[in-house]
Amino acid sequence: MLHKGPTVCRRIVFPTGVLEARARWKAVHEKSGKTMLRVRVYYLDDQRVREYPPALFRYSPDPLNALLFFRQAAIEEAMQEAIEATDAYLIWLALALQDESALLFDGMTHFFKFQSTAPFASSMLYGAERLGEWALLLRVGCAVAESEIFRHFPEDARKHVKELGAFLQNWAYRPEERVAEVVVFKDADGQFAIKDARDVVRVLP
Amino acid sequence: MRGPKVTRVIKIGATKIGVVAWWEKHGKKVGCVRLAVWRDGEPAQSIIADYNDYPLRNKEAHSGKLAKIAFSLSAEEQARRIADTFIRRLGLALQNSLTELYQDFQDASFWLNPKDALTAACWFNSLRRAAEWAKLIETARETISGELLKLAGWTHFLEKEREAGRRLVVVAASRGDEPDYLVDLNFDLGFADYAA
Repeated sequence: MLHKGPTVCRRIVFPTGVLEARARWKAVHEKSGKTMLRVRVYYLDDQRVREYPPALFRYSPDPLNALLFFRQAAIEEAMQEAIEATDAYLIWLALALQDESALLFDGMTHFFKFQSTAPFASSMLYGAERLGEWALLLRVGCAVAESEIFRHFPEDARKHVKELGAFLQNWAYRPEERVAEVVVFKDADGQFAIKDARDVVRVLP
Repeated sequence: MRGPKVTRVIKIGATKIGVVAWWEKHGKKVGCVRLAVWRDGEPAQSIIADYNDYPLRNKEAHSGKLAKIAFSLSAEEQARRIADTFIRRLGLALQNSLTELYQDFQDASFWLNPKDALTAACWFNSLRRAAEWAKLIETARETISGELLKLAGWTHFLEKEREAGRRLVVVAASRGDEPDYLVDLNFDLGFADYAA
C-alpha cells in the first residue's frame, strides 16, 4: 500500500524572502487519495516561516491504480499528481501577477467547477469552497511577490511584477527544461533579473 | 456596537437548523453582518456575510431617541436581508437550480467576476467569502437531505427535496419583513405512498 507520494516543491526566491509551493499526493484510510497544496513563506532577514491552511487540488485514485502494476509506477504517478498541483499554482499566480484576471477566473472556475453547468448543487458549492482555499493561497503569493519587488526594486516595480508573471507563465510551458526554483535578484548592474536557479551563480545576498 | 439578532429556524424530522444574523461593528473597521448556522443547538462557526455601514449612517442622520430607533431598524433590516438570502440560496441548492444560485452569488456583494473587482486582492477576498457561504449552505443542505432520506426514503427523495427547496425560496421572499420565523419542512412527506 502506498500511503504518501513524494513531496514536490517549487520556489520563488526573492532577495529577502522565499515563496514555496509544496504538494503531495496522499491516500487517506484506504480512500481514493488526494493531492494537497501547501504554501510557505520564508522571511530570510528575520528567519521567520509562515504556513497557510492547505488547499485541496483534487481527489485522484491514479497512484493506487498504478500500484496494481508495480510500486515504482505508483510513486511516479503520485509525483505527477503533485507536480500538476504546484504547476497549477504557479500558472495561476503568473496570471494574477500579470492582471490576467479574466483568464485566471476562467481557468479556476472551470477546474473547480464553480459554475452553473455543474451537475449538482453539491458539486457547485464544493467547487466554490475549493476556489476560496486557492484564492487565499494565490493572494498570499501575490502579496509576497509584490511586496518583495516593491521593496527591492521600487523603480518600475509594477512592470517587474508583470515580468515575473510572464516569466512564470513561460516557465510553465517548458516542462522539459524547467527546474524547481526561480530566482529574482539584482544583477551586476543592480537591475531587476529573473532566472532559473541553475543559471544563477550567486543566489542570495 | 451590535444590532438585534434575527433568527430563522428550519424544522425537518427531529432536527432543527437555526440561522442567526446580526449587524456589528468593531472600532474603526467597516461594519459587517455576521451569519451563523446551528444544528440542534450545536454552536456553529459564524461568517462575515456582508460589509456595510448603513445602520451607522442612518443613526447619524437622526438625533436623540430617533437615532437609536433608526439604528436598530436599519441594523435589523440588514440582518433580515442576509438571513433570508441564506434561506433562499439553501432553497435553490435543494432544488438544484444552479443557474439561479450562481446568478445569486454573482449579484451579491461578491465580485465573482474579476472585471467587477477593483483589485486582485479584493477579488480573491470575494472568492473566499463566497466559499464560506457555500460551506454553510452545503452543511445545511446535507442535513436536510439526510433527514429527508430518513423520512421519505429513496423513492421520493428527489421530488421531496425539490419541494422543500421551493418552499424555502417562497418563504424567504414572503416573510422577509418578519424578525423571526420558523419553517416546518415536515410537510406531506408521502409516508403513505412509501409504506404501500
